[in-house]
Amino acid sequence: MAQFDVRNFLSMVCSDKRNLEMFSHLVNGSYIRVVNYHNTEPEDAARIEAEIKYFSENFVPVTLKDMDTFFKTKKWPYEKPGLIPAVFEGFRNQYDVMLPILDKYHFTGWFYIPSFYMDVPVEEQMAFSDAHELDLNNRELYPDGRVAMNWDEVREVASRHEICCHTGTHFQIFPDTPEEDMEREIVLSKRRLEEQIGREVEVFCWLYAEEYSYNVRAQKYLKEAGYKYVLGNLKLEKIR
Amino acid sequence: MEHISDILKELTSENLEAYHRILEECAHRKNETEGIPAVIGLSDLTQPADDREITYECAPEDQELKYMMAIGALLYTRIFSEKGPEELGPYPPIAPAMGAMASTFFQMSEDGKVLPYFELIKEGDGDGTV
Repeated sequence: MAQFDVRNFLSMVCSDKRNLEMFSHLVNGSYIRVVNYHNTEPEDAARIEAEIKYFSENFVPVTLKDMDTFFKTKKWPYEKPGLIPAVFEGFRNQYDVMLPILDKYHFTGWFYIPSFYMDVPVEEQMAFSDAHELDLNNRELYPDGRVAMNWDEVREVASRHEICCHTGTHFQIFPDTPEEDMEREIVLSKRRLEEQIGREVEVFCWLYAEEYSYNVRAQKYLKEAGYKYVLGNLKLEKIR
Repeated sequence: MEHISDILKELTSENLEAYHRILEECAHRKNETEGIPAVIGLSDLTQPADDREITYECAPEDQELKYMMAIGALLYTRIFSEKGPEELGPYPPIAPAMGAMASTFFQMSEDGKVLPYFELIKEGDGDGTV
């Protein structure tokens, strides 16, 4: 960085079209802020509360309806920028710590749930977490071994916040993923979540930096399932 | 081209220290338990491809910040593009770059100062009544 070579810089920028795409999104104002959370444990509650309090004072919470409006009108409908606390994996510690903090500050969280995690028997949840990259931080937090939210807890979260499908088993979908795996992780996972929370689930969230246009085979399943939005690390894509 | 070059040189020379400080902070944060800022692009794939790059009107305080975010994202991408796959994992360089950019250009104050994420949140600012 000290000796700045513009030609080299531009060559790097053009080496991956995603670089220019993201540049374009930022310049054109077509973006949204998020802050990603995974484990939210009691020992971190004070810090997390400070963060959510700050967000509530400086940003506005974002609902799916807000995103619908933003996409439709191309104009952010509030004076302050929006911010989404994105809460991943469906851990029980999110219900115990993050949910009451979000509720206290009336700030909408988006919870990304691997739908079949809640159906794993309690005695198998730790092993299931290890096998599916559901990275628990403090493994001793719950002596009874229930580390995932149960369905009652998911329903309570859903009553005040956004619920998104984060595959069925926290499964990375590749362009060559077998059909039956795509069906299970994209379509059946959505149905299971909807059965339990009693309303439509509009957002599918990949693992990692996948995109709708890069995984052509998955498009069929995303459409069949009826998702409206597909989220990856870089983009929220409206497909319906 | 000279103009772009000047802008980039100015931005990098002014912010070099801040950029590396943010990267140092990012390297030491605990992704499992800490809030990790990011910025994600919005694409309306229901619209014809030619209409997708249409300009969105963002919140007033982002009107100026968004340009800094855009340049900042590319500068960070350059830094991450020099790292190997063992450091990047499954992500392209733009992915961690967007995270670092989001931490750097988290907010703009009313007097036009860029506020990095790490400097904003102070532990214990809540009233502890949860």
